[in-house]
Amino acid sequence: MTEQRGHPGEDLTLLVDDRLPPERRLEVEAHLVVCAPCRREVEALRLVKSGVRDALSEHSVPPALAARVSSALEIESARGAAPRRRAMRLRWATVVGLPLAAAAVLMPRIFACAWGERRKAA
Amino acid sequence: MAHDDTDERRARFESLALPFMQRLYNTALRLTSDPHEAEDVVQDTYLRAFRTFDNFRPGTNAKAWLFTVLYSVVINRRKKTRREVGPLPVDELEERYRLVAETPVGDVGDVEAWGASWPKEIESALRALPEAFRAVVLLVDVQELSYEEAAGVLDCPVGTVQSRLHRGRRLLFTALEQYARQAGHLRSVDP
Repeated sequence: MTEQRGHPGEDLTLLVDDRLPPERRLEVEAHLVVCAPCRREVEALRLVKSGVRDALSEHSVPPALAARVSSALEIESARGAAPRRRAMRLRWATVVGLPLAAAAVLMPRIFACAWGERRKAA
Repeated sequence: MAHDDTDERRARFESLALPFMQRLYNTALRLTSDPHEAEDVVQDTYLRAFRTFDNFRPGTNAKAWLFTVLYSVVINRRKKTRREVGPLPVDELEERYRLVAETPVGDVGDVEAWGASWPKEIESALRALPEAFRAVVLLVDVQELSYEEAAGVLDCPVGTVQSRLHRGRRLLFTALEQYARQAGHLRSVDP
């Protein structure tokens, strides 16, 4: 907490936002009873807080911006889909293609070895 | 199959993030003070958020997450373009605030009574705030994020948020007092 011995300073903002621990809140409130400048400061802080929240006008989103965002997301989404499709093809190639290729390479050798063994035995 | 996944991901993202577009746009507008720049910031924010959507944990605060992305987009664009002068150094901020803090608050009732033209004046006062204070006021007072969420967005300690919020509000009040005085609505300032 700030400035405990003199004016509460930043603690006035914590008071306005209801963020002071109960004990410190009592101290600050006791100070406000005897200190007119701090009372005015609390009023000013409250006025600004509510003024900024309530009186500030909201600007509408330009329709062109909403359209831009939507189309940018669509493009980004499609861009994201392409690597995923490539990854999927790669996965299929790994799961199905590689064993088939290995089989194609190894099977003639296995047969050849087996045939050779048979001939030796004969 | 892959298309369905992608479409489903995009649909989930859009239903979560698009409802915040107006909030993001208004904040970008007040951080950049340039409507075209603000539009670019919002588009970049959505793209970046979409790319990292898998990192977003469902059930956590989507608004705070999107503002974190937005603030980082603003900072990165500024670094790249170097068009804008960066935030004021801390020493200068301290000095600017010290001058305000030493002046006691005048009659709050007078300022409040003059509040008819507030939307315009508050907008001007807010945009004139040093960025470090403006960002915190925008996040906490306008977008109603908690101190902790704002600290996450700005990547700073909660104590810094508290300090900047206090100073930002004090500077805003002083600016409003000045506007009221210029408009002839302020009777006097107590010493």
